[in-house]
Amino acid sequence: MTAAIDSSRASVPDLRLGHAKALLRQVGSTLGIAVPVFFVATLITFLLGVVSGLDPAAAIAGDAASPKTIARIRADLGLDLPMPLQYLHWMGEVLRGDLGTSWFNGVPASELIFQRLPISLSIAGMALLAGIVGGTALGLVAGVRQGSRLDRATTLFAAVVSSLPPFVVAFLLILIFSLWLGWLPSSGYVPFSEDPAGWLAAISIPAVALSVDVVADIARQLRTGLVGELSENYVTGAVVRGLSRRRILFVHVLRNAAGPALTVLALKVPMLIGGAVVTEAIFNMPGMGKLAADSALRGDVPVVQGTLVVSILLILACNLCVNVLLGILQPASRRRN
Amino acid sequence: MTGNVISLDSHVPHGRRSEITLVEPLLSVRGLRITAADGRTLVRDVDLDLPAGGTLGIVGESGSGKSLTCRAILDLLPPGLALASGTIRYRNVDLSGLDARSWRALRGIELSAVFQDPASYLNPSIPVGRQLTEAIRAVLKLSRKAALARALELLGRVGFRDAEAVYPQYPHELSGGMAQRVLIALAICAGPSLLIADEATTALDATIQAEVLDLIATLRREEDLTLIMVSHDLAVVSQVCDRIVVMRGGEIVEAGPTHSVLHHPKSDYTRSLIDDHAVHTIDTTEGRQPPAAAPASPPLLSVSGLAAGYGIRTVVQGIDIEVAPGEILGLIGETGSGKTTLLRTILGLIPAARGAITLDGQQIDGLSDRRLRDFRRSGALQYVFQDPLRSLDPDLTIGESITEGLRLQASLGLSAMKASVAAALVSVGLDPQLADRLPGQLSGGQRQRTVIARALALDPRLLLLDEPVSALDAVNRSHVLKLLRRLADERGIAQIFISHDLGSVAGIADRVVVLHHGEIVETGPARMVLAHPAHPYTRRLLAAAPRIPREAPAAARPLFTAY
Repeated sequence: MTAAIDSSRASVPDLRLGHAKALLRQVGSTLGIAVPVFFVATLITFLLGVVSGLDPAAAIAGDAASPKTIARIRADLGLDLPMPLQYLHWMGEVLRGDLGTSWFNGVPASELIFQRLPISLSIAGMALLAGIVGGTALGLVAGVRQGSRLDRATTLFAAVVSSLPPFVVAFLLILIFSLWLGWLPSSGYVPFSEDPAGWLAAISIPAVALSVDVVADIARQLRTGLVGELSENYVTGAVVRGLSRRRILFVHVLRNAAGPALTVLALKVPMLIGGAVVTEAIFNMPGMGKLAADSALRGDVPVVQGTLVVSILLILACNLCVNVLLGILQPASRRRN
Repeated sequence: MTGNVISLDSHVPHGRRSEITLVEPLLSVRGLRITAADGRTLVRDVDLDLPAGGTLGIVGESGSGKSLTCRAILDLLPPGLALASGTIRYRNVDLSGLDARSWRALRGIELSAVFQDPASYLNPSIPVGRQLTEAIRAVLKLSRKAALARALELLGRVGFRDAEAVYPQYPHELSGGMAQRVLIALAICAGPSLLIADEATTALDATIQAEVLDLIATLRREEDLTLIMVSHDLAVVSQVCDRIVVMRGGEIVEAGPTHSVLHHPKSDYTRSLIDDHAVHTIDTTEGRQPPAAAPASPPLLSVSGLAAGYGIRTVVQGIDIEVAPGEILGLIGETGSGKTTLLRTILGLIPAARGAITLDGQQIDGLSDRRLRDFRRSGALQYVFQDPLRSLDPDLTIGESITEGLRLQASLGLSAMKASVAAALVSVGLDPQLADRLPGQLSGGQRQRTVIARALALDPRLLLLDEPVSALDAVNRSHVLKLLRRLADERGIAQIFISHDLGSVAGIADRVVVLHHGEIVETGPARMVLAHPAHPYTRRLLAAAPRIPREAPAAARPLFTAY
């Protein structure tokens, strides 16, 4: 037997601890970025309300109100304070989960938002799901059958689709599935708790319309990732070891190839939330996007700010999830940090 | 590359090795011919016969077709290459006619392989132990627990003292030698009959290389393996193999028992491989006579008290070296000893933490961006990398690559430019007509000369050479080394020459510096250091260097007796 060599400087528990620490460090560094991003984004949100110059006091007080009444209302709303104090006050409330009250009907903004949130989340979530499933399937086929007709068709599809705005796709889908075939409703929303089938029918067109772009981008990124990874030596190594093609693809290659696709996915989440505003308008659905749009038109600053804060939180949460997932899938990438 | 592996089903039972008669070759290759999509023939008329238990070495420089031949045996030809004709018979099966399903029954179970750059053959995202268990379960159908036990046992067999500590590590946490051991464990996990070791020890340090070769030889005996060993280094192959095949330009130029190939070579190429190896082995170092005027001339480069590293990690420290014009300084040390870091610091790619570097009296460390750029454009300091193919732009002809630096330096006319390129090519012994070729169309030796020509075109004072010959066969290595020596003697170009291969350094260096853990442990005239090493580390390096056996090789190699 050859001389035994020292396999490592560390013991087994130390190693496992080291790996766990590396993952924690990555989560920590993601959070370390997310927290400042949250404060900067919410500061911008707050300043948007300030620069809008809207003052609800006069409207609330009515035509006959004396300047004194108006001043009292302004004081009640905290609008007479210096701006930094107003911000601190607002941020304190936000951190406590209080997004303020609507200037128009006195209902807490959070209540308004959380009434509408399920609708938007249904659409965006379903679009995300459809995007992941469709994009992964297409990307896998194109990447594995690289250079085939299917691969070229996927590339063409991705190029065409990503040049179409979601609302155009939405109109096409309405034309086909609602007007010609009559399978799906062209507008309206049914809560899942009332009628799951109806819920699915109601959200499928807007969700699909939103997802085509995600499908195209995920498919492209995954294809590129797969083509690169499939030419790596470890794939040859796995073949020599006698692993099955399926195992090589799904256990070994996919996790290493998924990086760019996952990153793109994280970038797509804001687009899905933003796209929901347009789609909800087209399909006349009372979602959060519609609430934000309506409130903006009415000058209802707290509600608009509230929807923005919730969106920011959703986006940051998605980014965190993607980063943690990447850290689990590709531990080697942690070393570079 | 996976385009040829499909289906997921059971495989033929194995372990019927004893029924095979020894008369029948285990592997028989006849008239093998491999062509590229553009019609070029890369391998032609290769015949190999390998009896069960035999050991066959295939020697040749990069591009000689030795690796392609092995890949063809494993049905792993790169995309675009195809088996044009010929048969590959393994036992009684014609491998060239196998479907994917039958291939899966062979690979990993009957045939297996280890390669150069072992860590890259492991999935970077999965702990190595889990990859081993996975392979065991894929071919042996063991329970999870049994597979784990077998994996730990295998890790122990390939020399890990604490197998449980290796198990959860990721490939990037292992050194090259450790990764190769893991790869060997993977290769033998199902008890294969044929093992192909394709440059398996090439980039490893001398001491590690000796250990891995020893491991392969031991396992070969214990596991009753038939071995094909591929290398550019005749010495490595001759240590382990009974028979040797020498390949060049896609053809076999010589084949026969190791002893007769080494001592009665029939082809000129083989003879030159052996002669060139002999010239530069450390045993025969007649060494270079120290140049008479050397002490008198002021140093061209002087490095004093240098420390450098990456971030907070110090890689090299307390470095004092001087290089006189026309002097070649050999820098020896194992991977991680800081050789490359030192060169990169001199080059200004890594900032020096402490110490000073002066070239020709001018301080060159810590230059401002602008002055650094001016200094670089002067071309006084040039660098030659280890891998010539990767240091040349594949889409530029070699003439264009050489011109690139000239364009920055001076505004030469087109004809003057052409003349400079031709002169640079001639000075490295290349035909100026090659200027229109792409790097991919040249041989390994020609490419490395091109890289040197590119550096020479800028008229450097000092050449920094990072393992410039480690990927070349003995003949090309010798040519490049002679070229470098001539450049030093005739044009007075000083050189710092990094190598883990002591033979190369022995052949040309005036002085050597031995680097260990980032510090200089020994320095002196090449001949003295190699003949009478003072430091134990240097002695260890020298002892581990592969050598071609002298006379009576059978007696000299008691470990690897003939089958």
